[in-house]
Amino acid sequence: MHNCKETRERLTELLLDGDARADAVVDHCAECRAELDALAATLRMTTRLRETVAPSEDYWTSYHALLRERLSETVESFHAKAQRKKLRHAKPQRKEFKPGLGFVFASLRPPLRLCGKNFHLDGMRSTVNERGNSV
Amino acid sequence: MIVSESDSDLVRRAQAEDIDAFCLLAERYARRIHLLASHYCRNLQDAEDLSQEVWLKAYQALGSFRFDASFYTWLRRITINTFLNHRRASFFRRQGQITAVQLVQIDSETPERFFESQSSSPENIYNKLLFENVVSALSELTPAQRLSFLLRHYEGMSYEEIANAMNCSAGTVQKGVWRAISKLRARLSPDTEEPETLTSLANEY
Repeated sequence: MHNCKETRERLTELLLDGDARADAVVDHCAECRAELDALAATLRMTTRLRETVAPSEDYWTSYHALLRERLSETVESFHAKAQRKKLRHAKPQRKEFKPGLGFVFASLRPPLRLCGKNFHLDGMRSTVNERGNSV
Repeated sequence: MIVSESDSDLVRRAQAEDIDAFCLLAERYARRIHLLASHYCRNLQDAEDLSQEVWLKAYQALGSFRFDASFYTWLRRITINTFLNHRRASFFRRQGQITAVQLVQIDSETPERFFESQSSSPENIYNKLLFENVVSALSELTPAQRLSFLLRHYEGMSYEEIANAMNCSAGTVQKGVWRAISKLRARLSPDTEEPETLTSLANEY
């Protein structure tokens, strides 16, 4: 059974899809036929714009020249940013390690000092204990 | 005989930072993107800026193109995102009270340079009137509805494809498209009460 509301909703879809069945759907209803004609005219006009909204060749020449310029700027800016990032994240260079006598003494000093202290104290204690007075 | 390079070949060259190759791709598709932008924006200068922004973003994102879909399908996705982000940017600009200035620009600007023919022939005048009417009718819609209509009607995308790209439901897209057509129909159809109906002019051609 024909339902105008449903038919009209369907018409939009059929027209947008360019489906030829749109005509058959409105065959027996004058109101739906009028709706179809109005919708078809509307879409025809907007489709027409797709063909007529065409800027001149001069416009496109300057459009593409501007785009190329912007692209070059983008590339330059990208490289500059990448360079800065690279520098920021680069590990700081360490001084070359050259082991020398200073290092050998520095590494030996704490245990020696500890041993020396212990030895000295032990020696003092033993000296006091054996002779009865401090040396 | 000159054999034009395929999109894929040009993309590969562009991925290797060949700007010339990318410009060739832009020359192939710039008109389609520009057409969408010119219907999406109320301000014609915005349309030019927006379409150029699409290309700049595409170039920056070119490394992520994996050849799963066609270059244009991928580009269209970037176009949609750029358009929707532009909508947000416009909102912030509105917050900055610049709208009044922009409205003056819209009113004073004519779409002359968007038409190849600069003649004052009746057909050309009709086209300009038609363009102004369509853009004006579309401007009464939300940006998402406007974009839904353009993608459905001019790009032939399905509701599901649009919904997927715009991150909303197919039903929302469908409603937007219907609303757009209804607005356009009211503005352009012969039974409107406007003094100058475009359809009557259209019948002359």
